[in-house]
Amino acid sequence: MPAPLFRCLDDSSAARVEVIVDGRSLRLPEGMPLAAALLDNGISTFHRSVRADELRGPLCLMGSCFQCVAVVDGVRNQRTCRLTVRAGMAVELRTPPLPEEAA
Amino acid sequence: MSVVIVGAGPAGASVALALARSGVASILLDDNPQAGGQVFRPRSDGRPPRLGHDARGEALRGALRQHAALIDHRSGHEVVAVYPGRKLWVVSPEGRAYELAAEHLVLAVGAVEINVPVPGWTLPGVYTLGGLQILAKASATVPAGKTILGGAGPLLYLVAAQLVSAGVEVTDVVDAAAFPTPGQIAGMARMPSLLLRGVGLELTLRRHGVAIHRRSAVVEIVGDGAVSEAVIAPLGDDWTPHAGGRSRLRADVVGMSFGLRPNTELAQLAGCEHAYDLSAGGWRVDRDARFATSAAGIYAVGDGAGIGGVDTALAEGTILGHELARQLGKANATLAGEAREALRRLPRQAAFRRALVGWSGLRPGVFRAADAATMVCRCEDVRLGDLDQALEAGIALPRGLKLRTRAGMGLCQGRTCWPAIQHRIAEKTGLPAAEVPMPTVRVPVRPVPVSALATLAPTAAAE
Repeated sequence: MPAPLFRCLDDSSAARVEVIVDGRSLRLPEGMPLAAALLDNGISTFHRSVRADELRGPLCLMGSCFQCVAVVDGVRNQRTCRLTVRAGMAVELRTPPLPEEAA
Repeated sequence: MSVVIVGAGPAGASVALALARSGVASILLDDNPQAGGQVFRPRSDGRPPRLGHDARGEALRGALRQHAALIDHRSGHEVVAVYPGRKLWVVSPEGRAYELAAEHLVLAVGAVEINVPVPGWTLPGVYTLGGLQILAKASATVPAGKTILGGAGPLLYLVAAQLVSAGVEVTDVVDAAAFPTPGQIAGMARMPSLLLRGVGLELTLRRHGVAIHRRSAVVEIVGDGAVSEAVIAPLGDDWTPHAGGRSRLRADVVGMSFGLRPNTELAQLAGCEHAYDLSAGGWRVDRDARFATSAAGIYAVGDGAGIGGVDTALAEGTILGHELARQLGKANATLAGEAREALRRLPRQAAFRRALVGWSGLRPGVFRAADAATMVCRCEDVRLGDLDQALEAGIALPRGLKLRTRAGMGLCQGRTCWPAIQHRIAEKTGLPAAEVPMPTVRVPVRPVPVSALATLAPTAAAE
């Protein structure tokens, strides 16, 4: 596994809770934005692009670009930068972000 | 009589506070977890940010709490549509959609960053400057490896200085702008504290040994599944990259964006007139001296109405809040003085902004860094070559181009790629960028779960 691209400056006092990421159990700081918590844990690709099938990761981290989308608790296209870590969350990464509606 | 404000950044929160101090209630909708917008973003748990702390953000949040009786502040509520009659669709953090009608509607929606697609910019490890700043502010999360920051404008220097001060190995800052001219420096000196702050940022970078490349840009990002190198090139006067003089720099993380533009989505849906104004970041909503748009009862303030920066956003918010309270017969004398004072500061802030834009405002040549294989629309995987093919077939209007290529039709609705598409249309058709029509905005502006939509009235859903 490549070295993590990010590190957290905190010794985070926040309680850590279990989040299941692609079937693997991770202990992440409760209340932290999910995208940041995943980046801190060395995860940098979040979804698979629609046509070119490229692995992509977050870009803007402010809810605008939809590059950090993942399937969270069974719901597609969730912006992980806008969700906060909660105990028992289930995250599936690198699935294509199919539009929910026909354009 | 209801006042609804969209956006709890410095502009929107200032409107709500001015109204509350005059005894007028308002609903303050914000899609962020805490008030303050991007500029005053706190830690995700509400504590002041570890990097880039600004006491004005804590003051703003404190004041909103103090006036909670009159300010119905709804965090995490996203406005996904605006309809005639100042009707809004809002989605709550729980995913419930509801309709809200406003007597007076204030749009204080803020800015979006301008992205310049270059080969390799879709690699994981490439972020916008604002994105890196948000990670640092809200999550104390910073790049662990060699970091190169590129783009233009004050945010470039601010993010670079914040990250190096936090111990991040920022090796290079690649600025598309040249060193400011004496005239530009004189203009920026109209706001001495901001000019000094800029000088301070540059000194911080020099002290940490960061190489600053001016009139240069990151024109390619190289790597296989992750960033390994950034290619930088010198730029011409209109920021067109030169073929020669390029260098390759080792990098793990690249941060890049080229300034800000107003987020016009909601104002467009509301039917407001817009104007193309490069000094305000491009297309912006048209408004009169009292911040009223062309649509009755709809006002716009802050960066979302034209990039003006945080000081202008705070000033405009106070002025508008006071003005609305006055119209409602609830003028507050103390506030009247503050609003007059804020109004008096605006010309100086505008002069500063003109100089700042002269120095660092986007120049279209930089979009020539993309090649035919470069992904322009990341949501729908549309490459520059796909756009060119459609343009060569005679399709020029954004709408036709969207239908033909799907560019801008994905999840982000073109917020990420629009300036690149606009400038490509201009380049290929010879139209001035100002004459390329604005992209159409589709409802909802953010994807809404079907279950949430089902709770809305069918008449609204039919539009």
